[in-house]
Amino acid sequence: MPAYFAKRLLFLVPLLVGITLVTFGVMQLAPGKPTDMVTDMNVKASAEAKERLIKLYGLDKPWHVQYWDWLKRFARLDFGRSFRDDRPVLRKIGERLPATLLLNVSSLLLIFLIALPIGILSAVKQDSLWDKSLTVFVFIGFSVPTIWLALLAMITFGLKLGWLPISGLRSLTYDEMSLGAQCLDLARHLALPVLVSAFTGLAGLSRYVRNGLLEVIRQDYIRTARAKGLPENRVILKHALRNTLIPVVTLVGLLLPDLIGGSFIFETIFAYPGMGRLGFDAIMARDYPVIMGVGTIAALLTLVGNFLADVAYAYVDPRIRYQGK
Amino acid sequence: MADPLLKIENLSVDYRRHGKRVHAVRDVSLELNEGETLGVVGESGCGKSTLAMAVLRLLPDRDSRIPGGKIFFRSQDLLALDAEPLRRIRGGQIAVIFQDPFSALNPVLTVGDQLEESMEVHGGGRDRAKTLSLLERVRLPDPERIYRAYPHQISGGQRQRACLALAIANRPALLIADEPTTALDVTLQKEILDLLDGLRRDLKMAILFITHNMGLVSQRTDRLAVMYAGEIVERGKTADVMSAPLHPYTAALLRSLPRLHKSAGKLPIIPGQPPDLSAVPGGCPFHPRCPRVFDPCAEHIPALLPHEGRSVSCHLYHSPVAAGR
Repeated sequence: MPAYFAKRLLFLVPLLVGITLVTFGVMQLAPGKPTDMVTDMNVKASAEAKERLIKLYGLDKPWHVQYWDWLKRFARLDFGRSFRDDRPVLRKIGERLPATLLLNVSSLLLIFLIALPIGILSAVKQDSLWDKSLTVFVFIGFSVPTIWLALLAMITFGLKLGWLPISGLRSLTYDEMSLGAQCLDLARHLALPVLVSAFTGLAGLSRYVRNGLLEVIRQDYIRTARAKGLPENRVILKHALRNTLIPVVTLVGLLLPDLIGGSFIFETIFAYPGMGRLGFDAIMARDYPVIMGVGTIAALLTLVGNFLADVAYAYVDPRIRYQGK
Repeated sequence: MADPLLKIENLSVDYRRHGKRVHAVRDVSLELNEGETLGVVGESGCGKSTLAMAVLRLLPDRDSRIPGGKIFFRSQDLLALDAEPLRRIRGGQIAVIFQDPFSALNPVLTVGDQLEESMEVHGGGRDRAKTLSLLERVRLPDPERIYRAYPHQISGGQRQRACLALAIANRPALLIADEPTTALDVTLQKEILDLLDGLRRDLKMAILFITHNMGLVSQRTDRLAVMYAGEIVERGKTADVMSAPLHPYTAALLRSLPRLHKSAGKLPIIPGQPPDLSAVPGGCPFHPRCPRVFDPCAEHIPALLPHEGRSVSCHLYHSPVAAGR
């Protein structure tokens, strides 16, 4: 088993390099240059200054040489500095990643908290009115456009009712608040984006749990559990649910890219200072080092996350855990 | 004589399969006394397992229905019980052992946990020493290891022993054995059956033994009920039925058994297939396959009536006019 995981880990390296190569290539193919913003759009900039800038950033070299230079620096974990504000890329990402994680982990937790009971109830009361209404409920969330729902929520709860702030992560006066007030301020800012993204994400997990549970309930060992006189809730929550949730670990692994990368659209609507907006702004400005940094960090964390999901899967399923022992 | 331990009265069970009603068990009556062993024999699909599962109401709620009949256990109607008293009887006074030891145990829980849980829900608490002695009682080698093992880590024979331990954990008065050795090697079959015999004597259990193999029940049961197409066609003391079968179907089943000292070429088979239970032939359901078929068989349904100390449903013994049908 450890040998298998070591091999898996080793395979991640060429995969990651491949991802960076593709990202770099696509970025170069896109029209426009990083220097456009400061030169073409600035009447005062001379052609000479533009040339100097291009040379400074190494943009005059062929793209494979540029990629090789980037790769050499990446090997030393040096992501370079942003073309726009000359700040280290890693620091810019470090400021944004926690915000994205906070938003996405909160909404994932909320999804689990709501979708699990929905899935269980739907399975236990299959085809009942409960099952049907819950199905309609989660599919509404799945079907409505997130942007539209987000705007609607902002208008209703932010503007009309005035209960919640509609954008950003902190109030302007955040730094002067006490710790408790700071937490409350964060929670109030998070409320709308988390609720909207959780509602739109309920369908996947709840349907997965419902169908998985229906499948497991038909198994012989569930009949055994009933035959030995276990109360029905214990049959479901211990014997059936445990077997149903094993594949869910993989599902979480698949959700990781969203968790880390952040959503461009979502973060832009809520003016949320996360990875998604950082990447979006960098692409608009052709800020090559930041684009590469965001892409690479997101890819790296996703690969590692998927790997950990595999390890976790092996751990929770004894049939895999004890293989070859 | 006191009331029988188990008394099944005119029980019928229907299935719904692909929109069609299937009459799996039709108007079956049986009695089983304390400490007695009753064999229920018949081909696959004759309704014998359905009958066994109906006793503990382990049939799937959605697809099955009991349109008529009563099942009395110690004079208590099992079909009228609420969930909680039914739960206490399941695995308490009535236990089941299933056909397939490979799927009867929950793959993600240890054998020890599954055993202890059964005693726990019947008020016995969790007692490791008691569980280990239970494993010893079913002659499992190295009980400590089995206790900690997950089902996939032990062999099929060991799993069936573990299932047997599960069944006797709360000293049931009645054990329903649904083809308990069908999935095992022939050498293992005898071991398990001998073990079952020993436990029955020690615990003074009654056993409802479901099997398609008449060879298995000849030595090990007090009485036999032969089922065909959801009905009992012959019922009597095992010795009587085995030595002089009345119903042509029973006779055919016995002829198709391999004999040790009489290997005279090909083993006789029963021509044709057991009927599709959604379209049972009119008259006697066995008449299309019966070697002794005569005029009334296709016209009249025979009734199960007493004959020479047992019961049989065949026009050879009771003329349809005399039976009033």
